[in-house]
Amino acid sequence: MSMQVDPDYLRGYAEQIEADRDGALATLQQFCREHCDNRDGLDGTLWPARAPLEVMVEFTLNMAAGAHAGMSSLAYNLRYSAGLYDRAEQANTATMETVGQRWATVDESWEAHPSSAGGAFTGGAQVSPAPPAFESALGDVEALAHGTIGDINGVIKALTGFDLFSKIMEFAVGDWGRVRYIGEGFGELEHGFRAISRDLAQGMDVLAPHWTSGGHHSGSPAELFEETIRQRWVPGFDALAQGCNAFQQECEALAQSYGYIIGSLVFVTNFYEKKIRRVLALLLSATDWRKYLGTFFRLVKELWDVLVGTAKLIWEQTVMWKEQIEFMCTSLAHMYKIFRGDFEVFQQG
Amino acid sequence: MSGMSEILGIMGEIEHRLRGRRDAMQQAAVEWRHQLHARIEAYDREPDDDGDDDAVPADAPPEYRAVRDKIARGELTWAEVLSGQTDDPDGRKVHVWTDARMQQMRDYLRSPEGRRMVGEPE
Repeated sequence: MSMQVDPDYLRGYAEQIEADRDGALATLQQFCREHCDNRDGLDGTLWPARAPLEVMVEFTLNMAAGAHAGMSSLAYNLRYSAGLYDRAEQANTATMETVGQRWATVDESWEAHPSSAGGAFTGGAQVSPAPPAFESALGDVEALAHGTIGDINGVIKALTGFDLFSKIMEFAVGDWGRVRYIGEGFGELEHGFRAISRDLAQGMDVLAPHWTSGGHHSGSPAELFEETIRQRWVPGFDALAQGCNAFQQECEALAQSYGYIIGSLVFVTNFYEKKIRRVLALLLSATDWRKYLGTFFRLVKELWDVLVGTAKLIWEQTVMWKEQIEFMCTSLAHMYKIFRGDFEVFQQG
Repeated sequence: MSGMSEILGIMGEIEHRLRGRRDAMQQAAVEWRHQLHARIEAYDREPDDDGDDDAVPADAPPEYRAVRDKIARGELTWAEVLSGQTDDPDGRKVHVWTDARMQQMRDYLRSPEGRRMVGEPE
């Protein structure tokens, strides 16, 4: 059996893993709590989006907490292993002393020995997620309610019973700007998890030449450790990053869909509003107002139907979106169960 | 089989299915928009109600014409007159008249003839 090991490299990599854990990973956990777990403004037609957003945040934080614990275990085991190698070397040295060599005392020798791995490892992945800029997307809706319909709503309501203002305001409590904000937050998480993945892989590249024993498929500790890093931890963080990326795309898709629908609603409402004002003027200028009253009622009723239909469409889309996120979380959890390793490294406890 | 390639394969499958659903959502929104536009176009094809904007209703107060001119100049709006929320003396006088006219309209809409007109059960 051939063996080459420099315990300082094991300790160096352990430090790097701890730096990833206490630096990059801790930063991402805090970022997720601060920015992705903020569902302010998701009311009205966007209410169904709350639950899946909460589930996705919880899923991500659970994974990150599991990763935190697992990385502690990795670093501890590396240090422990380095200590075992040191003690074995010390024991061998002591044994050789008994055969007559007048070497320096073991303790002096080891204490004086500078770390051979100094500077070879990184100080952890550099992660500084940028807080998303929250931009409320309710400007158009509020302009529609207050500007377009606001001043004639009282008359319309008194005549026809339809409260267009209140109906439009239902859209004003669901701010799809928040969905976009959360999505951008997950985009930052994606980059952060990928950075950790890269950093772990690079650290393993540094360690590998300094810790070899046996050949391929020998089941040696060095081989087992490398496999754990390359086949479980690196893909695990990559998959987590990809999950965040998929979620960001989902958030963006929902926000775009909402914006598209509201944009159409604004266009159509402006069309009806002009017609309604025109007929209202006729109602006030004609001696025989009866011939315009039917048209007025019809226009208001049609606009009302458009608003009701829009609310229904948005609700349906949000529910559909909710189902998508549930599907995604279920799939991720399924992967977690199926594949030993990969996600299992993030399992807590 | 395990590792990155398999995980990425599954993530790819998830993304594929999500993309399919996203397309369905988008399609629903596009169809809805087309329906709205079709309705608007149908409306535009109908002849306008050619009311006479310059007319003065027979029962209108003398201030009516002045108010109408102020509205045309952007000094007042019908909404202000209708709500009575104006300091304009002419506007306030016409408001009393519009209030009465609105009441007539409400009464008419509640009558069997009015309900029939708007398609509600009598």
